[in-house]
Amino acid sequence: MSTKSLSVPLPEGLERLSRRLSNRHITPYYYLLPTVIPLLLLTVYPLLRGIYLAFTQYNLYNKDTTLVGTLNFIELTTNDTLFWGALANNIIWTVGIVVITYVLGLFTSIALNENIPLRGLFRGLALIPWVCPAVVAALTWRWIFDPHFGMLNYALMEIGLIDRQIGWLGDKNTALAATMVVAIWKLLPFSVVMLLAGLQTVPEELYEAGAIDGAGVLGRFRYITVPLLNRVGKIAILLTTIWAFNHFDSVYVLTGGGPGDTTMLLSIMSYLNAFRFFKIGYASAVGVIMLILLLLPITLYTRQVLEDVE
Amino acid sequence: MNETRLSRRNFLQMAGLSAAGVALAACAAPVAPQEGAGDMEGGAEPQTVQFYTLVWQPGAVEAAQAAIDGWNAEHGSRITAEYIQGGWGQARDYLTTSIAGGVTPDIVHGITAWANEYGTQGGYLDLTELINNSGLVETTHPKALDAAVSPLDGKIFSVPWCWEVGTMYVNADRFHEAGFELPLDGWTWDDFIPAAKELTSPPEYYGLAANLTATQTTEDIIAWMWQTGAEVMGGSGQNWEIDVQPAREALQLWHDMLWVDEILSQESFGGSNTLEAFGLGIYTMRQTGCWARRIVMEAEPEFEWHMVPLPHYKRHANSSEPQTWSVATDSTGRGTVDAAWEVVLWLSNDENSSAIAYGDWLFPTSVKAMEDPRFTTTEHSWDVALREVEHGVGYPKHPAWAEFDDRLLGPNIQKYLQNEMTLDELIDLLEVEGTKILQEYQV
Repeated sequence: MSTKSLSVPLPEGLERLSRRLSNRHITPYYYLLPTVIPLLLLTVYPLLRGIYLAFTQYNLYNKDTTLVGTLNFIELTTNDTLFWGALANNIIWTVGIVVITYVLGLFTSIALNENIPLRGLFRGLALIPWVCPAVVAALTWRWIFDPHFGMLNYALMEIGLIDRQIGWLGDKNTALAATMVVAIWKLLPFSVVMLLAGLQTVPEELYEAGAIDGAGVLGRFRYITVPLLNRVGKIAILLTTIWAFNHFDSVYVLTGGGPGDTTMLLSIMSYLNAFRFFKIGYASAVGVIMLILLLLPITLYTRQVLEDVE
Repeated sequence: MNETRLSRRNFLQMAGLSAAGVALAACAAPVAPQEGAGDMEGGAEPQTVQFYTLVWQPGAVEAAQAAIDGWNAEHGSRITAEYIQGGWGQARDYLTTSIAGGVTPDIVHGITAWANEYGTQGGYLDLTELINNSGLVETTHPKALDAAVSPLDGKIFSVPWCWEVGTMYVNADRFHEAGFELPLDGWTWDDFIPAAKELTSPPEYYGLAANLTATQTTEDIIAWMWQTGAEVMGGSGQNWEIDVQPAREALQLWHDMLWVDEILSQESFGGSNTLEAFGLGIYTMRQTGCWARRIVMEAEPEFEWHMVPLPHYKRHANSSEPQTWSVATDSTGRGTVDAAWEVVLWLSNDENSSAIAYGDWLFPTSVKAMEDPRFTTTEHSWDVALREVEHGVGYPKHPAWAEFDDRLLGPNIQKYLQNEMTLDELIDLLEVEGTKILQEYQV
């Protein structure tokens, strides 16, 4: 097929550029542009910009992008009265959520993998927290935890477990746990779906062989289910870790980081600095620290996914 | 010059790359609107002025929309006002990102504290000259106008058009049953404490409702701190200081109300709907603004209730923040400043400001409008609230206040009230860390 041509004289430099651009090894990359350009604009550029701003004292008004070195990081780690507490909260919060979500997800998925009556209905119900918008869920839970009108206090008092109302979200002893309950409720369906999908790839013959060899229920769980769920379980744990560590919406709606700084997480700290105190540079420094802390799970996750692809 | 063939494929490839380059460049450097771009020239389209309002009670929304409709009916051929409904809960996020993005609506509803904060940082225009030439100085209550003046530089970034007062809602039946007179003309802490103790019967009901959550603690306690004579954060120009020492008595009082006298229930930390709980008789008293009367009425309590002044101590003070209209600096780029100012004056006139304020169960700031019988009647305790206007105190007008409050004051008062720190530790922390925050902003 002949190529349609335009008779346009080109300078020599442009001609060379034109030849390079038509190189068959380069051409395929052009087809990636529709994906790569949005990625560059919406992910890579904001990321790099955020990292850059972390080394400035940029705020929403002065827009001063002069580099100040590691000043924000030094201030955060040496003078900020909230930072270390927020970091500790983040670690407790993340570990607690990941462990509980995984364990609950495992048992729920095993139950939903069995031939129980109305299995389809239960599988559908298990997904409800996932499809519920985060802020709607948080507002609903705030009502459940309400000291005077909440369902939780009412139920616990009815069955005699408590004798006076408890302000779950306002008591320093219960606030973090209460917010974790909401996050676990929201993340549980993801673990269930992942692990259920993993369970369905385990051949039934292995369980039959195990039973013939004398393995009981626990033995089959320990030596067949757990090892074969290893790969999908790792991905579920890594993703839950990333999401839990970055979590913001429900905690902000439920407690705003209080009482005191009992539920202050790094994400809330970053938000307050950026949008309440207008300190974008400082807030970016909190974000960069979160990114650094998340690099390990992100790297492990990426490696796992790449291994799976290969 | 060589004549070279440019294949269609190469042409499209280069065009694609150029387009991507243009897109990237567009993202890197937002182009500011041209000065006066929106100016109307003879016979051209009318200018549009965006009016962002936070009114929310049904009567106020209706009155604000009627005011805008009235403007458009009379002046719409020249300047069209566009009504944008906002909400108090999201306003700060909306305004902060709008100002940063250069897309702030022309007229912005808010309170004097926000107006000063955004104004001193360049988000709102200095309206001092416009106000001085408008007659508003003569007609506005001096206290409301004072609240709008930035103590940092004497500029005025907003027009105060309505205000509220902090009051106490009381279960009158319970007062009468216990033999207490309703303190309609005012009372002191010494009157309040014995009454509150007497009107407490835990766990059935408590003397005082409070909302000691992360975002509400300061709002509930600040007036009591002012009543001790503490300014909390005070000063002018570049000379500001943290002044919380005198507030020890107020903080101790609240601690005792929680842990010694049980006037406050520990559910106060839980963020419940205390107005609803007051309506159900769970609390004998609830302090909040005079705006809340409609909510209490609609709860239809099975008892007689009344609104009385907050008890006072060394100083008679309640939390009262004038609400304001500001003009965004972004209007300069759109060429709509003059048009926005005309609409601000329309909204602030006696008729419109009274109608909107009344719909929100608040007062207009115009001295003449406040004399309207609607605001002086004994019905719904308007007379009690009106007397308290004179004792209203607003939040400190310093840009460091938001950080001091959100980061230090509110959370650490919560810690003290939950016995995580002593009063001495609280005062020390507020003074030392608060001074650091102040210094940072003053630099």
